[in-house]
Amino acid sequence: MIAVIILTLKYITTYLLSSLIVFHAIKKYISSFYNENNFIIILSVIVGPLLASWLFIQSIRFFPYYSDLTYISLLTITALTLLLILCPNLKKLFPRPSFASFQLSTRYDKVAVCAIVIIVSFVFFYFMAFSFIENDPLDYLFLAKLILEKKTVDFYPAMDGINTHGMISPFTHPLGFPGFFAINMLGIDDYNAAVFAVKLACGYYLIISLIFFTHISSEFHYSNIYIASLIYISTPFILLLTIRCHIDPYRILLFTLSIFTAYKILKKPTKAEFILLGVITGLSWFIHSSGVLNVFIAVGLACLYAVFKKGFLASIKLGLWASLGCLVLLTADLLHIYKATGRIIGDTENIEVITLLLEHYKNFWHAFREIGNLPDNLMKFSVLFLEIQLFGITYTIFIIAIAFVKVRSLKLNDMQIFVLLAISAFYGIAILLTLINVQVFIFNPRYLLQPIGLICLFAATIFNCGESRNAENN
Amino acid sequence: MQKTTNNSILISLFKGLILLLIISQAVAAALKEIHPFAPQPLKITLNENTKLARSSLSLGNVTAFLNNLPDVNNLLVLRQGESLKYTKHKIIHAYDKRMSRIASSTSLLETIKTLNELGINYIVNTYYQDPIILNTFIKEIMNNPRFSTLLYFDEYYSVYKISNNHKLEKIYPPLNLKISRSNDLLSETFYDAFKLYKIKNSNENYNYSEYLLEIEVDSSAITTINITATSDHERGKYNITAVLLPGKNIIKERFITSILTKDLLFFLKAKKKANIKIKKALLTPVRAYQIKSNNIQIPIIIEGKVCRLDNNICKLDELNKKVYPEHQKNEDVTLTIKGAGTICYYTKMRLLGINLINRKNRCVSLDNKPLTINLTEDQYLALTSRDAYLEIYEAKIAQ
Repeated sequence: MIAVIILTLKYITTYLLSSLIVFHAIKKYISSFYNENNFIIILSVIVGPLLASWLFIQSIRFFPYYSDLTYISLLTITALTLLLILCPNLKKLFPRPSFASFQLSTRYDKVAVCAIVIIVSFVFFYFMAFSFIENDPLDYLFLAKLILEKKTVDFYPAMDGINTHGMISPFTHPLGFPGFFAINMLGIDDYNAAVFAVKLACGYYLIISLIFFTHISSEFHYSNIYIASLIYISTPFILLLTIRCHIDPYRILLFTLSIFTAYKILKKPTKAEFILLGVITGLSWFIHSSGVLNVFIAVGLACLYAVFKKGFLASIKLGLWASLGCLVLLTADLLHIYKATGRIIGDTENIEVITLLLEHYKNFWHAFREIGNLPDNLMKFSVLFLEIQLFGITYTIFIIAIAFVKVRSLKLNDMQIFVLLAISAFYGIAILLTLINVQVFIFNPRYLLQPIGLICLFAATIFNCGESRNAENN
Repeated sequence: MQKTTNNSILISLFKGLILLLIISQAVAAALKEIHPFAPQPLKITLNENTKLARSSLSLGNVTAFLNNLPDVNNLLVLRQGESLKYTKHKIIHAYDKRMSRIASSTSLLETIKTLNELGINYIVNTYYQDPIILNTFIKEIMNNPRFSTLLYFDEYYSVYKISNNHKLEKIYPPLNLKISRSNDLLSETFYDAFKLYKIKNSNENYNYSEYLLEIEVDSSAITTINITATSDHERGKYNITAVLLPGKNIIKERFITSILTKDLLFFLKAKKKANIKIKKALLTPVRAYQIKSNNIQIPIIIEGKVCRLDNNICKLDELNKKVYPEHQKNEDVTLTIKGAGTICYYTKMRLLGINLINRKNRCVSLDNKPLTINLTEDQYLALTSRDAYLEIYEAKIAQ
């Protein structure tokens, strides 16, 4: 009984209180989001649990070796205190979302919602009927288990497995993702049940992602608002990565969220807005090193726009505030990683075996991943269109959508233009780095997925042709 | 007006088609993941181990195999997540800092010494040839029966036990494999594809050995070459992916006996632009089992794996496992069996080589007395009653 109470407390703190804190903090300090209740709610339920896992990791880092109950109590007390400071009037504690923009209005939307419900049900069925088998998520799962077992994070990054049951973790990724797994497993003694808790968390973020894309579709004034979500979850790679609890759906969600936050804060670019953007991009980096790109693209684009509104110097200042918001989250993790590996971003360079056999590894990657000369490397980008079994027809629909916009001379709204800029920035950076022989993006097709949320949102434009949502409503 | 209507119909059709394609790709991806025709039953449970075999047959099989090994000290693994979650043994990852000594080792004996010092007595290898295996002396240890025993081999994993008994094994003469270009039009279009046939060998001993496949191949570029061992009967496919460098390459791979049926062939394919040429292909028996006239002569397979002999008797007490002799094309096999409970004969019904259904023919009660039975090419046996067991003493070509 006590265990159930403790577990309930943990879930309330991790998912509810943390989201409420973010919601009220935004309401209090960010004026750009005036009248955007739905967006703030969605942003809060995405960011809240991840911030809770950040706080959990920092608690373990600075106050190690306590029991599960101590950490749950610490998190709950901190969350309650913050909530009372931010929202002293408890009558206004829970936000009221507006469901009007989620109404089903077209036949395509009805089909899409049916398909989405079936696919999401399939994901939960898969969680129940199939095991956790993908090697990378299993690595993170074991890291989370180690964090909970040792109640310290000092062992990470681990270059050898002497003190970690044989596990090595020579990574420069901060502890966000294993930390998120760990907070979901916290307080659950049975390992199988703890693994299921992780799967449920993956399911939670899938549903939130789909709601988020649907909400953005309504902001794009699409006639069919559920199509983007359907394109997203129907992409074979996304479905595969979701059911296997891979890190990529989180990276994609946070990238998409960073871009839309960057766009929205431009209505009134002030210090508080940019700190919020910094925190969101910092969380992306906390989850995975690739989040550093979010900092460059989202903060970079926001600063670029701010130059026109506020001038160059003011824009630089705002960029520094965003960096501050980002670094507050990351300093402890990055210092620790730098101390262990000598770098804050890296991959195979940290593995001595690979550096000793470097020539052989270069040949191995050249052959296996077809990474080698420049034409071969650039050809790797074609997987987005050619590897149907992974990327499906999502990128093809995106190209058709661009052609549609051009041929029919459709007028894009500012948000869509911003999305296209962000997509161009991501693939521009990816191609540029490939041209200067930095092969990080082409090493694994998963690394090219980061902007797929934006791709799906824009691809859904083709369902907007020749129809008006309001017209059908009427 | 008419034009506008036509246009709107076309647009609706186009959107419908796109929607259909979007949903179809999700259905296809979902079906691929749940493999609906897998023989393992679907289990809705929180227990991750219980449903492992259904989720990944290879991982389930190798995990079960590893967990049954009694004398593991440290497993050397390439995929730590899987091993840490599903096996009970201690592991050392191939990229562990302690393995740097292996990477910089300059001799076979030094490598063996380091492995011993690290307490590594088993290696779990994968189908891809990681340089820490391929470009160190570990590969030589894995290929040489003086230093290791190949215990398990399937499409994705192989398990080697490092032996401390370095006495020289008997050396058998190698068999030359017949090399021919593939006649598969699709493969020929995109790949340089070859087939290597095993030539029927008159010495029966060789049918029961481990083999070392040795291929000399010239390549014009860095590329991968995929080697698939398969047979006409499609009992199982075994993959190895090797890296070819420009110039002469020698690929050495050790294979376990259960896949070396009489109709075995190796299928090789590499990217067309590499312009590969197979110069030589040898199959050398590296370990032979002693065969006595009154014992099993044709290996017995239980669910795709060679039955481990216990005093030259193949024993089974699990229900519904498929038991059949190693395939002898167009020849029946006589088995001498003993046991208790009910055993049933099943026949595989095929269409164009694809096994459609397994039809139950008849069942026999075993009463602990020796019994001689004949099995045709497409038949197998399975225990079907509780507490049943089966012992197979002898398996020979039917007279």
